[in-house]
Amino acid sequence: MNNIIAVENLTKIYNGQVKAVDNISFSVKEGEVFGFLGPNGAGKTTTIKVLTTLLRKTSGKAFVSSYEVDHNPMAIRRIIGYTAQDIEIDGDMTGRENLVLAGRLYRLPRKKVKARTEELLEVMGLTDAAGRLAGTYSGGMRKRLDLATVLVHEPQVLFLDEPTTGLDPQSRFALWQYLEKINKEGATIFLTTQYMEEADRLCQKLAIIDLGKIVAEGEPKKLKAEIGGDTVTIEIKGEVETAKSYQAKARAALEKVTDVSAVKPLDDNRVVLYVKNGGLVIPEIISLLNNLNIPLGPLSFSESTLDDVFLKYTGRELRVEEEKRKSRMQKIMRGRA
Amino acid sequence: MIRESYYLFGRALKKLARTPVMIFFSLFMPLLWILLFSQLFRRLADLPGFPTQSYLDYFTAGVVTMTVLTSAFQSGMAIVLDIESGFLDKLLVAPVHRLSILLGRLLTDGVRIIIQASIIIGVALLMGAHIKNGFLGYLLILFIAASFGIAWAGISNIVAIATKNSEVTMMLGMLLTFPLLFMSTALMPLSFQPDWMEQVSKFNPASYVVDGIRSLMIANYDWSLIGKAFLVVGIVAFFSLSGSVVMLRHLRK
Repeated sequence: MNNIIAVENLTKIYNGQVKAVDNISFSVKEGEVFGFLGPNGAGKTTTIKVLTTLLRKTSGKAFVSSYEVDHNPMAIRRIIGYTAQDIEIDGDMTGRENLVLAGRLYRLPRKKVKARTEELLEVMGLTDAAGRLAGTYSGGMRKRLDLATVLVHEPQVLFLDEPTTGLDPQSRFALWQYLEKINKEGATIFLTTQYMEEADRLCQKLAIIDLGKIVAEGEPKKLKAEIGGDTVTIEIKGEVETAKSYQAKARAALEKVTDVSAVKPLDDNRVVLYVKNGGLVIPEIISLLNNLNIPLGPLSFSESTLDDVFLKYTGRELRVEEEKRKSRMQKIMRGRA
Repeated sequence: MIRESYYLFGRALKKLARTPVMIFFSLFMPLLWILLFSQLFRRLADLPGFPTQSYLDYFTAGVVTMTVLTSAFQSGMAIVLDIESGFLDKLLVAPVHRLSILLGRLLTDGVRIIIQASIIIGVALLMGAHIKNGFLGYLLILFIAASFGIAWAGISNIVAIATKNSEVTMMLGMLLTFPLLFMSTALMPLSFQPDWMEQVSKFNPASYVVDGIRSLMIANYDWSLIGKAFLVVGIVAFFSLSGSVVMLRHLRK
């Protein structure tokens, strides 16, 4: 299949200072669901804004369906749909009016606009609210309307920036099903997400992006397989200082075990191991650490998830990063108040 | 491009119809002026060399222009709202010419200004003003007012897009409207103004618009004044609209 998105050595520097995207290259095949996975500030939104012609890039090349983004933006705009992280609807118009305007701006025939509008209202569960001003909608309804407005013209390529952030689980699930449906009908979907579950369920191919760079790329299955089949987390007991020295000792010893493919410190007390045949290796690990007189706390064991993939490539936990950022933000906000 | 402008015009018009308060908001000051200042300054017309018998006849053109300026200076607010709600981004990723995005907005400002100017002229007529060129003159006055309003609204849009700030956009109008009016022929003929002010007035686009509108009220069709008004409107429109389009493109930074 052909590449419908191709990015070569893309770099974006804001105001000559902040390097948001640092020399990335990737491609998306026609009909694929491609996921960009990473924490806030990783460069996901910047990349998506360059591809949707909202931002001018600093250097490199980016093509959508053979059109270069800076040379032929109008041709790209005709065939894409884009929803931003923030909801972009006109609250002073009704839900139906929002959709009809979208259809008209993409030059759909009048009948088609009407048909698509009613169809999408139905799909998004907004038929009953269609005649109300969108400003009176709840958060979930606004998000669904926002998504509907970019689907009216049946875009060939759909760019979704964190489409399910802020949605309740039920709406999220319904949206996933709908995205799978339009993907089956031929639409290529490029989405960014912070949710591993979402990436795992929807995406045929993933790129993990952190600090403006792509750190890993491939099918979710392959990425998970690369880090070994299972993940073992070991906790070391004791004060921070002693735990640290124990941790270093434990890591050195564990790296030599054959079935262990990687060892990463998680925090001061915990160590994560990526192993093959976890069930068989655990006894070996425990006796090894006992011989070194390292005081052990609880030990946990699970099949690898994309969370582990992220941790392996960035050395950080995706969601934990988020939590930290949030609590930092809350502190700042409290400081202000 | 025309079709998209038309659809976006429809959207903005619908929004205006839903909040008709917007029409009266910027009408308050001009109404006060026409009611009070026309009385306060009425004896000015007794001065030797004053072009009209009634100050009201002279002053109405000035207040119509004032209405246009205050109203046009508000235009940028709508685009700031669209930036804040993210709706502008939605328009920017759609295959819509940047000029259409502006025209949809500006044409609605034109409609708003026509309504407002008719109200002001209506009040002036009730107070005893005369339009020498009758109904046709009245229509031409509205046309000059609306086209100048659209051109001037472009300036407000440039500021709005550059600052993305509703306060700054609003302030600009408040700060500039009065100096523009005082240093024009809105209140006083050129020959009555101090020399330096006369020089400023000559370069003030508002003067030409005031003169054009006034000529339709107090003289038989004076095509040189009307023509000059349209010429000035055209020049302002060219710079303000192309400036706005450049600014919208610049948003892609």
